[in-house]
Amino acid sequence: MLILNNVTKHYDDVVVLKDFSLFVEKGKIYSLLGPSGCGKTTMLRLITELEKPDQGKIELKGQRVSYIFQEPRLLPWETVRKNLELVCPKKERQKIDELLELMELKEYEGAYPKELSGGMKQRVSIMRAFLHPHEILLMDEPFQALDLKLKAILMKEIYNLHQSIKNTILFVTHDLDEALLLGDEIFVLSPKPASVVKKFSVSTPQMERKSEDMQFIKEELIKLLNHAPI
Amino acid sequence: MKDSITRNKKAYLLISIFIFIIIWQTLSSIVGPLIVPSPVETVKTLVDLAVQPEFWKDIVISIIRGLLGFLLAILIGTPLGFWMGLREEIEAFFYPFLILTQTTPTVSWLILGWLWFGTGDGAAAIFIIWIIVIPFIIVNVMEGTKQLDKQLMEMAKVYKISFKKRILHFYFPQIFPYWLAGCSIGSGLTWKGVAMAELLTARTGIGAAMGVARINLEIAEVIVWSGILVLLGYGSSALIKRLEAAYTKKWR
Repeated sequence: MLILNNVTKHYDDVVVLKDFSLFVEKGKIYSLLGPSGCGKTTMLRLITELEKPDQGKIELKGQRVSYIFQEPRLLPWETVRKNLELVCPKKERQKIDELLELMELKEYEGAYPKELSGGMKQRVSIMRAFLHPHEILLMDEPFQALDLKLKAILMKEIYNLHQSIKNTILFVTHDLDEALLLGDEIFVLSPKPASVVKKFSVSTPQMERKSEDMQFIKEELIKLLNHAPI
Repeated sequence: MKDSITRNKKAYLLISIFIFIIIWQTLSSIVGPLIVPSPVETVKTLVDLAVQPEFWKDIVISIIRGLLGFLLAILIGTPLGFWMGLREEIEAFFYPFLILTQTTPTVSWLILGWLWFGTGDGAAAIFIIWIIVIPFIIVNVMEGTKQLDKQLMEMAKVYKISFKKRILHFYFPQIFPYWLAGCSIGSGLTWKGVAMAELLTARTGIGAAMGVARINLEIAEVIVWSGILVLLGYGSSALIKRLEAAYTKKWR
């Protein structure tokens, strides 16, 4: 469980979040859908304590957090394996090999980030997030720079990994399709300062979702996003 | 292609040295060997000196003094620069010390070192090297610390990387090139500084030997000692360049 209670945050004169509240249940995937610059990233930064709220409270209750950033953020002077080992407890190191196999990066374990493509780097950063013991996973538009095919593969992998460890995922995106494909719950956010405008639950299991079934929700969402109060 | 460029570069280097020797020889013939000793005479002087144990003793003593001052500057300058780079209030606190060491002329430290530590065991020389080298170490390490990649440091924080791992895998790799640049400048100053300090404040070492040569008007000896200092300076800067190349070549 993760609770944000009336959180306010501003940078200089710009109010990014005002009395923002969020209640997140354990083990579910939350898609937070909102226009660019609405304060989604700020929200994640507050949860990870990279920023402090001006007002309000964030209750993590001792849960550990992993974070997939927009950029891969790998250490350029360490190999793929070392980048992963840095966040992985010693007794869980065998998982590194399993994940490297799964993500088809086994032969690159000794490579440096400069030798990897953008997609491979992002895959390493996803692996890193899962290798770090956590209850809550934050994802900040992690598929932005990737092509459609790779995006679909990675979303599937993330979903499978989520199923095996039942972590709570907060997935921030401005992409409607991504949000609909991955989320158990979809929260639509208003432009800055962000607030939750509408909540949807999607009951169809992720693996069975087809775009035509989602058409109804999609149209609703498009309407909402277009008419979001500014 | 690359091979032929390397070979060309070497050829130019040799031509340059050859021309230098010719000019030296010509100059010596024009003004006379008493003012400018010829290359051959200088080499003779070198051989004469090299057979005396005092020659090597002076060199070793100077190297030890130089290294001591240089290492002390690194030992204190590195953590201090790191701390100043991390925290602005610490930077503000040590800023006057930094400015003082940066702007005070070497000749002032020379005289002060002499008066404070006297002539003899070389403490004055070590102090003088320490104080002229330390600002360069501090400034470079501080700059490197300020340039730390914010995104990576955030990643370290989110993933709760331990302090030890942060030092090894986050701070060290990023600050190391800056630190080396500081060391490179510092090592150059060390060998220039050690001779200058010894000239005034010591009875042994390269600088002191140069002082004796000056009194005896042994210009060839002065040139030989200068050559030794050039070798020391070039050697240490080449060593540092190698260290840097070895360190970054894999991942850059």
